[in-house]
Amino acid sequence: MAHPEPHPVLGRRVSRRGLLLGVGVAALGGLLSACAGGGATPTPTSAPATPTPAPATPTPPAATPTPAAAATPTVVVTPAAAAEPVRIGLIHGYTGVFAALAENLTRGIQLYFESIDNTVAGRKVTFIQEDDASNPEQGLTKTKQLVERDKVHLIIGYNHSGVALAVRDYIHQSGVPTIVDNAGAQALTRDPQRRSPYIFRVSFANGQYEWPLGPYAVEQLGYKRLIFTASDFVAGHEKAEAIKKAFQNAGGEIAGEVYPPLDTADFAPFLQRISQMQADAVWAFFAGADAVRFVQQYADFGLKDQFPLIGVGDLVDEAYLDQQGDAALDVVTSLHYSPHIDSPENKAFVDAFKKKYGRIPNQFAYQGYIAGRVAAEALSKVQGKVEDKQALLKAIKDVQFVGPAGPFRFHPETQNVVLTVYFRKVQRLPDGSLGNVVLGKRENVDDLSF
Amino acid sequence: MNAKSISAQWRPAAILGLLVLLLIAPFVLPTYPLSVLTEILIFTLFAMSLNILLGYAGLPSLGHSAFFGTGGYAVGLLAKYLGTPAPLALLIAVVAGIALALITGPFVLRTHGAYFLILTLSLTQVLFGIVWLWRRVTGGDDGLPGIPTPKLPFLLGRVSDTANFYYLTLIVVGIAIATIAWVVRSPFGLALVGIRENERYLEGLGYPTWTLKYVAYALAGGYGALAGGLFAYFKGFVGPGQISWLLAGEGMVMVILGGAGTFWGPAIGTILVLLLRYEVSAFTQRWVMILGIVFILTVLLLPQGIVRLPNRIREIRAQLRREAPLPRPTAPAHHTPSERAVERVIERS
Repeated sequence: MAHPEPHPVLGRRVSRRGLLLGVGVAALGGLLSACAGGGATPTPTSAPATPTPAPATPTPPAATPTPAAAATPTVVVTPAAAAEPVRIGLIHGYTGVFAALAENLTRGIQLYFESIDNTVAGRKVTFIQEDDASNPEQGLTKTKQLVERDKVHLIIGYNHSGVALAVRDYIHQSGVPTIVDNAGAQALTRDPQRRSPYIFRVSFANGQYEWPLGPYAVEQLGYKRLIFTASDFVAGHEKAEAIKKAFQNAGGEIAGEVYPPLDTADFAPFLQRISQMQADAVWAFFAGADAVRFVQQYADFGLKDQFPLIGVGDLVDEAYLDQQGDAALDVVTSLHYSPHIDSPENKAFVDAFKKKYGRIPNQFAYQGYIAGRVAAEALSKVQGKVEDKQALLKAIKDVQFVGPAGPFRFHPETQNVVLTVYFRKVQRLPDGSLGNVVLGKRENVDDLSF
Repeated sequence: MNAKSISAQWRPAAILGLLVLLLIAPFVLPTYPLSVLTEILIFTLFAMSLNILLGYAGLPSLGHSAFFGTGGYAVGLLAKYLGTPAPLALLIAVVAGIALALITGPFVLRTHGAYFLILTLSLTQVLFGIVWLWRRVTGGDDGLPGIPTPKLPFLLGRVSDTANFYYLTLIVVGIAIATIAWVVRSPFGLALVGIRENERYLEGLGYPTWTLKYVAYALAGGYGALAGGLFAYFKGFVGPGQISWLLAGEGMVMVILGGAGTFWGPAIGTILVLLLRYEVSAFTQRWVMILGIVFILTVLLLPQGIVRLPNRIREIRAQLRREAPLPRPTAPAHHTPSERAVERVIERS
């Protein structure tokens, strides 16, 4: 860490000048590398530094990668058009609250493509990864960058509903085939005005894997009165609405509703309200750190003995089960995936994921894996000829296979996945760890079914 | 000041050159850099409007995104529910921003310094809460997507859509910046600087300082809302992120980084922040860290902002030249020059 020998001559003055020069070079480099902004400097700049090794020789915008792309190790472009690799843009919120989720999605995608050697029909596949920070404005700019500068043939990404909705119009206009791998905003596929022939979703629409728990709670678990609690944002309300409707249709009764804000540190006031209600059980949707805190505080508060906890799979995601510990035991949730689904496809996926990343895949890793597989199957169906966009779109739409969670296909109208919903219960596994053990399933659930 | 007169001499030429560059940009730049440039223009206006408060009047506002968001939501709601044409919608956005400032001004302007900062921050948070929770109207955290991007009719079909909106932004932002320049050079603008330097003194001279601040606050609100309206059109989308205090904080970084209280400083800060965000983030996800380092270095070494860099270099050069012939003491090598100076003073006293 420390310099081996503090050089006595390096006085304050000199190092300062060095720093100044550094700032100057950094600023100049930034301006140059943009090859655009340089023209916008309004000052008569007296060049602060002598010839910097120009970071960006003005590149023709066509097929050559920009310096940004060149820095990522995956991108290699050869001039011959036939051998030119397929460029796939990966865009997720790699920084910010959803960073862990984005990483799992990306791991899933990469795992699948590595299993086919990053080659489809003899054509190499390269990825250009961009960070939308789960911020709609930045997501739109980064999408433009992928489409207009990097000229990607296909986009996989969007973990955040706000980003997905914000980029929808641009994607529709620019016509780049896009596979959404997490964002659940219902309008994206359910609303006939908002769906687009260029947008496919392999993950879920909000409510799609939540609603089947409503009838299941009435018929199998015997809960007639439920309290609903969810994070107070659009996804929370969409999910709660879907299951409330299905639950009532099955003869259930809503005992109460509580919506704590996103990122609540202390759930006590909300749990207090829940404890004063009369019900058979509590249905909950929380994700990320909220989920860890809610499940723990729910048990600490002693509510677990009063009302059994059921809810959305995110509540007891494999990523947090260890932190939640016994507080998560016996929680029944619905989800389109569980690593403990008993099928050869799932076993292969879980083993491959464990081997590469040293841990059990969660639903997001699964969604990424499926997104990668859909893209790869479509690409190989068109023999790698991504330039024929209509053929590629049709190939994506027609993709069908049996994946880790059962049969996969798109709904022909909404272009949203038709999935199998699993009912799972947190139990101790033979090896002592906690896991979501499958109790039952409901097949062929599409996003128009609720 | 020799140096100053030279730079003043060259200023008109520099501005003219810049304008020409901006005008021909769509012909030399591909669409992606052009859209980044459009965003830079919009945020330059945002930073300059904040600079009226932060730089000239010395009012540290951490709630400027309230105006940006108000403009954005005005445009978004008008486009979505009424289909209002863009010029009218932008005008209403400006009026909405000024109105918000006029309503909230009497509350926030009762305070100074840190208290002003907190009050403006809470103003933003209140608006953010309304936008977030009033889901039926504002779309909650999903925002309002699908705002149609306006186009200049006389350029239709001649240039790409990106270039068309770029020119529209250039015209609107250009006019706005010209009027800001006129405002800050006017007696009113000079009085604002006076308030920043010594409000009591100005009050003693008979200036109605509260009214001046009120007007400055309203003006900044109007310009901020204009930037927000343009941004909503540019993105075709408005969401709570555009009203969040994080954006206000980013605006502050742009202004302080470039040079608060200087005219072009906010523009430079904006360019730097946006290029870091969009260009450096392609190399590394740690761009925020780089921004932080640049910010710290700037505050330490160029306390008046990056816009002062040429002056600062000149100063340091002159200083070096002056100091060079001084005999260097050999024995206590680890002493820094300033420590030596202190010692000299102590010895003398």
